[in-house]
Amino acid sequence: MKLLTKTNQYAFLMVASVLLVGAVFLHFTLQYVISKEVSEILETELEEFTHAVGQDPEFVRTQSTAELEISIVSKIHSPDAFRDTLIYSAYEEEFIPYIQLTAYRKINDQYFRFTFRESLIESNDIVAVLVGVFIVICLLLFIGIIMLNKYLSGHLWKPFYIMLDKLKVYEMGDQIYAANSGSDIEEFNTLQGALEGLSRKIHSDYNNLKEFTENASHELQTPLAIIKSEIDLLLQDSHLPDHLQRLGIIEETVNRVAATNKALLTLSKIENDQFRGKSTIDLSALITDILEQLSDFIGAKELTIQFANEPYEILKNAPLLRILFQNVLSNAVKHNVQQGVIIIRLEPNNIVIKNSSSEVFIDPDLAFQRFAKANPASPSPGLGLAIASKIAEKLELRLDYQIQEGLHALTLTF
Amino acid sequence: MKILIVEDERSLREAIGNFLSSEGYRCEMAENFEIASEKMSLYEYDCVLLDITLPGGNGLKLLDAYKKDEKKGGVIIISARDSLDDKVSGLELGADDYLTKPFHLHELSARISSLIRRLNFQGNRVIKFEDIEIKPDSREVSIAETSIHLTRTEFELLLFFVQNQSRVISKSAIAEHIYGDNSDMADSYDFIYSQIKNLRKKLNEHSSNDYIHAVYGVGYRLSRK
Repeated sequence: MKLLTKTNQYAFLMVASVLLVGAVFLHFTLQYVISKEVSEILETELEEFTHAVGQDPEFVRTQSTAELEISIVSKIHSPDAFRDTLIYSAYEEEFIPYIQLTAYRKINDQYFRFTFRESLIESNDIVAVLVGVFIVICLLLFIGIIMLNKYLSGHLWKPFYIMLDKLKVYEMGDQIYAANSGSDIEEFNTLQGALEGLSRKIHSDYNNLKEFTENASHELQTPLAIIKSEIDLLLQDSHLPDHLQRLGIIEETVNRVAATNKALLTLSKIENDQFRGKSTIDLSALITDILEQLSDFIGAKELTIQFANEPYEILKNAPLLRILFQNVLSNAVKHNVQQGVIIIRLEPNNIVIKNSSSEVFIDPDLAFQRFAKANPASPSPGLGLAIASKIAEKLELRLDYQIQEGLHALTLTF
Repeated sequence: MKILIVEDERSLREAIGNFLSSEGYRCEMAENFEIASEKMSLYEYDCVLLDITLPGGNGLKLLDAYKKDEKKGGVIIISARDSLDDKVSGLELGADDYLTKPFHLHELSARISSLIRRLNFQGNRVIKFEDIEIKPDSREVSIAETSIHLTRTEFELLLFFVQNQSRVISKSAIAEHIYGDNSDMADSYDFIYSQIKNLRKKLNEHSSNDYIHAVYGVGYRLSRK
């Protein structure tokens, strides 16, 4: 949910509850105040009439309306009492609320009952109007809050959104993250500072790691060279078949280490951008050359190669392109079956390499990961496809891997 | 034949020296930039094996000075840096070959012998082993004066064997020599096996001797009778 929507939701909840509580409170307060006011008026009237009746007993007969009844009674029945009552008004054609004061007074040895009524209809109208006005004010307030939020998120929060957009496209190993949000708000400036610090740290860690991998691989080359040389020397001096066989095993193992190391070195060099520059390459010639190198393996498996050797020029980094096709094609041969097939199609926008395979199809997402291999027992370090995908990334090609008509198919899209 | 080994790692320097000495080369050693610089300017060598990362300076500088002195000997760079830039600038500066660590001593030995042959005999040399004659540049092979036809791989194998005669050569050294980057192909040893079988068959058809012997579990050896 967006920040703006969320803020508006809270604003709505706040205004709605203020509206509800406020309207009820307003209503009852007004009711109370009005009824108190009306009661006071009635009491004043009672006093005035008591006085008037004291002056002129005949006054009683002249005064009797819907709002006032004075009658002579034999005794005092009850103390003064206020009462709410409804009286039907023929004019309004409805019951109208009244407050009624009933009081007994003894004036000049006579007992009088005074009944005063005061209509509440006007007061109720006022209450309704006031509550209505209150609701309108609240609604205006709500609209105001929404507009303010919209304005704030557009202006006040702008630096935040700028930073967010920059973060979205930030990639590891990119240049250091720097979004000049141009904000004068302390929190945003702190956030930006923190992000810059973080990205600088990530950047340097990432570079250190890349350099470390490369240096470590380099450092391993010389010890490996020593081991290999010593094995070669020992092979000349050993005469016990048992020792020779063990030397053979050691050598195999060292070769596996060396192969893994070499692949890691290639990967780190690609990641460290050590292949720069572009040149026009005839891809057909390149593929033919690689197939030629692989010809013994192709021949031994009696593979059928379908490849229309037509000039196909592209502008890319030559060494990277060679490593890429070397990997992809040797994979296609390596994992092929006896009397299998390799189909290479060069089309204007993509290159498809299909091959029959003895391997099970591995999930493409997994296949391009380092050390991913379908067969855990295979001595190959499983870096071939990782290298291929890394190169494809550098050469700005898309590398897809799927099953087409029962063949494993690698598609390179420009 | 005199060879200068410029390598800072003692074990490797000695292993190379050891191996090459037994091939009949006279080896001298240099473990750092200064010693190497001195020896390379004072003496003549048929071949200099040059490490690039040396204590005291960059091996490429030595190469540059060596070539400016117009020395005749060949230079093979042996480097842990498999970087293309180093390779290109090394070869541009006049290095004759570039070998990336880790390598097999057999490979180094074969490269040296090819280089020396190239430099000294302008390729007209015939390599002889018993009754086998190899003309490396025209890729011709004859046995007991009968010319025989070998495939490219078979020829490379024979030359590699002759360059490392009487030595035990492991299958991996052979695979690396023949297939280079593809030597890690799962079944490359099977191919080596069948290629050697074919080569042996062709040699045995014309020669009374069986020169190539399998060394159980490890590899092969080309030996005289």
